[in-house]
Parts: sequence; structure tokens; C-alpha cells
Amino acid sequence: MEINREAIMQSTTHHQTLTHSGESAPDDRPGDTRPYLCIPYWETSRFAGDPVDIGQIRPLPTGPLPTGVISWECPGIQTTPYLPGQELQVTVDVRNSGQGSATAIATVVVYWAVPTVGFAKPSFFGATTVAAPTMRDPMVPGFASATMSGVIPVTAPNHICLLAYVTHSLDKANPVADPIGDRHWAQRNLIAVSTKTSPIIIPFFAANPFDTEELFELRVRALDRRTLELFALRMKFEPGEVQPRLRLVDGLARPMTDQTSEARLRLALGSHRQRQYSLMLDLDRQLAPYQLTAIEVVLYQSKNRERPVGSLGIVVRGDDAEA
Amino acid sequence: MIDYHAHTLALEEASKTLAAAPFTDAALLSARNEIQIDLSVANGHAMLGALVDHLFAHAVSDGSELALLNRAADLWDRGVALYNDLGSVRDRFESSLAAPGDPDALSQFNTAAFDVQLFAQKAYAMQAEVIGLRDDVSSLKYLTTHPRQLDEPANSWDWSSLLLGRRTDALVRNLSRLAHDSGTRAFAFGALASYGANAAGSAYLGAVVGGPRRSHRFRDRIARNTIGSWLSRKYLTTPSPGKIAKIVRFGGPNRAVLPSGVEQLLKDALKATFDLSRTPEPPNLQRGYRRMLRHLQLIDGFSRPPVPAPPQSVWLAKLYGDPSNPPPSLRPQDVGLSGDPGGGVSLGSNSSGNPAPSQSDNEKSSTICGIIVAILIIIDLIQAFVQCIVQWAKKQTCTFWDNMLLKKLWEKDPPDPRDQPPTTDVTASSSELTAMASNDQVTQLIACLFDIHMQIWEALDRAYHFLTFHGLIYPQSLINVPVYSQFTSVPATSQWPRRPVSDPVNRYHLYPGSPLEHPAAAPSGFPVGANPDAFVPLAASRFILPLWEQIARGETDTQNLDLDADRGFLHPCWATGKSINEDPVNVRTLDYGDQ
Repeated sequence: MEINREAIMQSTTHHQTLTHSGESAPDDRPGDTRPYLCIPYWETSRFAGDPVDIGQIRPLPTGPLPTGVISWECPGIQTTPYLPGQELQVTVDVRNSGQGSATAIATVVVYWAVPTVGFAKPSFFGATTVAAPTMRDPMVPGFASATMSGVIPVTAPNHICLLAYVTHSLDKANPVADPIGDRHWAQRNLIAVSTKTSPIIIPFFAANPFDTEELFELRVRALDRRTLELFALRMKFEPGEVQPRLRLVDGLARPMTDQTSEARLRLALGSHRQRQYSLMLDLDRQLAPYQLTAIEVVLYQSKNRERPVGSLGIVVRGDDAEA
Repeated sequence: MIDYHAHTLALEEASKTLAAAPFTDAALLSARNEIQIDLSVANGHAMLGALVDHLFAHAVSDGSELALLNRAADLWDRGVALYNDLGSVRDRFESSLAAPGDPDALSQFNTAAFDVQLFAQKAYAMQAEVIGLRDDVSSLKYLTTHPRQLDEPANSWDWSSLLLGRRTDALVRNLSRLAHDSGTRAFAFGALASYGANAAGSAYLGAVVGGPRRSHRFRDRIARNTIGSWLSRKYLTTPSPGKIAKIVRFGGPNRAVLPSGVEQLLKDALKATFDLSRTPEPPNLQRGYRRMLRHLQLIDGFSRPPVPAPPQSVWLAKLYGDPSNPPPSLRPQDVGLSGDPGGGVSLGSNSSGNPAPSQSDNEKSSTICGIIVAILIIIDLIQAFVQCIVQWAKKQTCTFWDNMLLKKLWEKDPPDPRDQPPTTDVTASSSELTAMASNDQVTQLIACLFDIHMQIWEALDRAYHFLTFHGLIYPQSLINVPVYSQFTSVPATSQWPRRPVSDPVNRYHLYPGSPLEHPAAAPSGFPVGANPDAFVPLAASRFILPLWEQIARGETDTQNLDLDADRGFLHPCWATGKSINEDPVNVRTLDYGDQ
């Protein structure tokens, strides 16, 4: 047994908060011991004094990092390198911040989709179970991880979106795929393009995840400077000093917006319907091989303009092909 | 009084401290040489000595706790076996229905269809036993009130309380004096380690509990077990309870026997230490020994099984392919907050946790009703399966099945436990199996069996917590949960000790908010935030080694310390002038010879 003798009588672990039995006001009714699940969008504090993501802040906070969150880049979803037709391993982190002491057996389900903003009919990738013990202190990081393997068909594009949810019969995920608004859902894009060609054309779908016809507004813009800086750091790159010019075209290559720094488009979509668009992207200068920039495509529900219902990120990296 | 793990660690620490002591005195060097040889050849005796307080506790008990633990262990083993049976049934259903043309498919399906009914019968038969155990454990009657708290005079105290509260140092000295060979000397050294470990460890216990064992016996018990789990996790070489049982077991393969030398030593030492005309008859030590061994074996047997495997991949794609149409769950949707029936709480209003012990940790939140829920769902599911299999074989939709999925299970009367569900012949032919394989309701059956499997695992987990929360077993992996972690860090408090709380069964998960028991005392010298590893080396350096040196030198200027640290750290054995309920309590410190 190794015992630090100098630590005897000098232990300085965090002070315990006393919760007294409260002789005058007991509450002897059963407490809530059901799970409270989420796929965390921030697994450690974003800034001093910040609790980890336990799923309470939904819709996900927008705005510059570190207080804002990139909804299409959930760090709770990790993968091995993706190549269509080859085995892909996906790991999803789950946090159960429920009360009591019970461990929940949560089911984690993963889907993939072609680049889509909003998810109508994603394709099934895999599902598994994970024992998620309660982690009640939001200041203490922690999660359980579920890993599964599968093969995305060789016909799939080089860039896809992964979508995952965690569910339990006493804490169910919403059947609408909603990474921004439902703590059970999360999204991670595997979309990265290089500046080898110009303009860069990125096809994607806008999809209605709801059971009813809805009006939406599609907004496309580059990440703001501070968010790009923090995002690039996370990706081990440097932020590029470029001004992207953006234009949306429809499935028949007809321009739907002017070329601008922020494109907006209003559209109506039937229940679970999707429509193809392409983003044409011009950069005013080349990115160095160690630089990146990122474009965010966000779908807003028109009846609630501040409520994003889907998002998509496009990372543009400098061309690092060997000469 | 500390737990098995802390005692074994203290013994190990005492041996190391003794070995490292820079003695120059020839008498000490000689004595150390002798005891080190004794410890190397009679390790089992030493560990038995370290557990002497537990030996007496088992000897004087009425056996009710061990009997409950026996029942719990039996139910646990059967519950895990049932859980494993369901895994096998699921696997056979899934394989045969996924590939009905395979040569083994038909026999797999038919054996699974029979076994799932047996599974339901076995689960059903356990219902009454589960409810009976829950009721018997919930009352916590096996944790009896300390005689001091009942104002009983010391001459009527049981021997377990007596050895912790009277002539404690004197007993250790007499054990050492009367030991005459390697086995008894090693036992006496273990008892010395036990003395020091209790003197230091009980002070820690009192600090985290909020008062002594006699005032907060339920809280003290889970604190004691939690500290043991904490220490065993930190020091990975700590033997498990089952390993401890093997180390301290003597006798033939069929009957464990407390070594006669040890038994005689204890009898002689009790006689030399106490006026036996003023005590109850010494207890049956052989009975206490065998109970302790059984207890150690039983508490080692509660391991949770691996979590259920998800359905085979072909079924997963069917069940989860469309996120807007998730598979059904048979879990009642109007469950209570703790997952038990009858709460009428709508789902979706779940609340996130709190790092401090709270309402969700109370006695009523720690029930084992999850098992009963799962059993009743199983009965319903298997009944529907038997009713529907004929229609599925004809490629028809079964309305009985849809009704089962739609109905609220708790709105009907539970079945009579005496009416065991029958077994029905549901043998299918190859063509019928093929017909069933493509039925959507069969896919739902696969989902429901998976759901039930998860519910049973969670019910086992809840049962584990239930037994832990009631002090019957160690919390082990649960020690980071607030209701347990409160006992592994000394809290900041200036007022100690707290009097017993009213309605302790419903409040022992919380630090006592009861009035101060005057005169106030300091629970321990441990700083705020100190973890349990603070008291183990303290026991060796502050108590065990100095007392060993005194015994080796023939010196006698120590006190009999209260081994429950009843009035705080380093407090000698004491008596109440009048009643323990007086305010302030008339604390009368006993002279060395007082009994």
C-alpha cells in the first residue's frame, strides 16, 4: 500500500457541501431518479465557472465561441477516418445527469446523411447500448461512450453528416431529428473540401424534419472571426484571412441568390421532403495548406425566425497536395 | 467501528510502520524480530485479530442481518440467472426469425418459445420473495440501537458494544500478554491493529456522519461501507471480502473452526480484562466466526452482469431505420419519479441532478419495485406472445398484441401471485416460422424482449443500490454518487455531535440537522476535505506503534480509548452520569480500571 504520509491530516480535496436532514421540513416523497440524458456538445468547461453540457441549454447557444456552440460539430461524436465503402467506427459520448443513484441502459442510434441541413430521412448506420451511471455534478466532466462499427455504401459521397441520438424508455428522444433543440440528438459533419478548384461547388439538401409542411429560411455565411479562430484551433489549423463570396443555386444550377457574403433564401417544404441546392463558393485569395475557413448553412423555421432547426458546416482547407 | 477493508489496510500499514521504525532499544529489536516472524507464518491469525470487533459483532447478533443477506444473495443469483436466460432466449428468437431457412432455425425458435414461458414462470415465482425481502430490509431493524442510547447500564451491554466502549486498551494488552505461540501472538498483533484502526477510523466516521454510531446507526453503516469501498478502490491490493474469508478460514473443508488457541486466548483475555460477574455470558465465538466467514462470502457475490447486447444487426436496422418511428417500449409511461408505478408523472419532465444528497436519495427513492414492474410486464408480454403466435404463423395481424402495446399496464389489477402462468405448446413448423419472420409485430416482439432485458438489468442495478443504501453490501462503484461520496470527505462543520434525528429511516441519507448534543466536542483532527486514507496511517503511527512499544517495554501509561470515538477523537471510555438524553450529557470519563 502506498500512502503519502505528508498528506496525512492535510488533505485538501474540495469542501463538501452539507445538506442537512432539515428536522423541520422533511420531504419523504420519492425523488426523481429517472435518467437525464444528452450527447454533450461541450464535455469540459467552455470558460471558467462554466458547467459541462448536461443538456439543459437547448436550443444550443448561438453566437461567438466560446459561449456559442457549433451545432454541426458535436465533439461527443467521434469517428475513424471516413472512406465510402470501408468500415467506419463511430463513438458517441453520453452523459446521464439524472438524480438518484441508478445506472440507465441507454440506447444510442447513429444515422448518416448526404450533406443536409435539417434531416428528413437519414440512413441507419448502427445502434448499441451503453450503461450510463448518473453524473450529478455538472462541474465535473464525465460521460460513458458507446462505440459501433458499420460500412457506409461505396456509392455515398465523400462528405457526409453523422446524426446520433440517445434514448431510454424513461427519457425518450424526440422522434424529430433535432440536434439543436433536443438534448438527446447531436450532429457531426464529415465535410471538408480543399481550394484546389474555384469556385468550389458543394451540393447539399435542405430538408423538413417535421410532420407538417413548413416555411423555412436558409442562411449561409462564413463563421465570424473569433469563432473561426477557436474552431481552427480545435481542428489543429490556423484561421484563413479570406472573404468568401457565396451564392446558392438550385438543383438545376439556376442561381437562387446574388453572390454575397451572406446568402438568404426562403423556401417551403412538405412534410419530411427535401430539396437539393448547391453552394458556390469563391474565395478572394488562396488558403495556405495550414489554414482553413468555414461556412455555416443554417435552416430557420420561418414562424420562429430565431429557432434554427438544422445546420451544416463546410470546412475549406488550403490545398496540401504535394507538388 | 470500521469495516473489513479498513481493518486489513490498517494491519498492513501497522506491519510496514513497525518494520520501518528506527529502533535502537535491544528489547524492541528483539520483540520486533519475533512478531515479524509470527506475522509471516501466521498471516491468517493476524488478519483474524484485525477483525476481532466484527467477530464479536457477529457472535452477539441475532443473525437477522445475515439471514436477510442470505435471502438477498439467493434472490440476486436467481435474478442474474433469469437475466442470462433471457439473453439466450432473445438470441435464439433473433437468429431463427432472421434466417428461418437455416437448418437450426426451427429448433432454436421452438426451444426459445418454450423457454420464454419458463422464464416468465420463474420470474413470477420470485415476486412474493422480492416484496418480502424489500419489506424486511426497508425497516432496517437489523441495525439495533446501541445500549448506551437506551440508557442501559454497562453490565447489561452486549459484548460487541462492551469491547468498543470499555477497557479497550486493557484487552489489547492482555491479549498480547497471554499470547504464547506464533498464531496467538499474530492474532494479538492483529487485535492491536484493530484497536488503533478503530480509534482513528471511528473519529473519521463520526466526522462524516455528523455524530457517533449510537446516535446515527443507519447513517454510520452506509458511511462505514462507503469508506471501505473507497479504500479498496484506492489501494488495489486490498483483498476482496471473499479473499479475506479465505485468509481467515481455518478448519476442514466442510466446517470452518475458529482456532482453539485463539478461542482460548480470547476467553482468557476477557477473563483477565473484565469482571465477568458484571457482564453477560461471553458469546459463542465459534458461531460468530462462522457467521463472519459467511458474511464475507455473501457480500462478495453481488456483481452486476454485463449490459444487454443490442438486437442483432438485421433487427437493429428494422427497429431504428426510421427515427420518426422508434420501437415500442412496454415500460409504463405513467410511472412515478423513481421509475416505479403509480406516480402519474408524465415523461419529458425529467430533472437533472444535484451534486449534494437530496430527495432523490431518500429511502422511498431507493426501492426495488423496478423488479416487480419488470415481472408484470414479462407476464403480459409472454401472454400476448402465446395468444398471437398462431395468427402470426398465418401472416395475420394480432389484435391482442396491439391491445397489449396500447393498454396502460397499471390500470389493471396485478395478477394473483398464486396463479402461476401456464406453459402452452406453441411449437411452430418451418412454413409458420417463415411466415412469422416478416410480420411487423414479430419485429416488435424482438424490440419488447430487448426492452425487457434492459429493464431487468436496471432492476438488478436498483436492487444493488437498495441493498447498498440499506447497509447490507458495499457500494463499490457507486461511491461517487452523492449519497455515498458525502462520506469520503470531511465536511466543514463547527457543531458536533448531533443528536439522533427524528424519523431516521427517512432522513439518514442527509447530514443530521438535529440539535447539538452538549457538551460539544471535536469529531476528529482531520482537516476539512480529508479523505479516508487520512486515518489509516494515523492509526499506525499514532496508536498501534506507540502501544506496541509500550507493551514490548512493559510500560503502562495509556488510556482505554472509546473505539466508537463516541465523544470525538482520542476520547477515553466514558459513562453517562444519568441519562444520555440529558442536556448537557453528564460525561464521566472512566478510570483505567473502570468497567
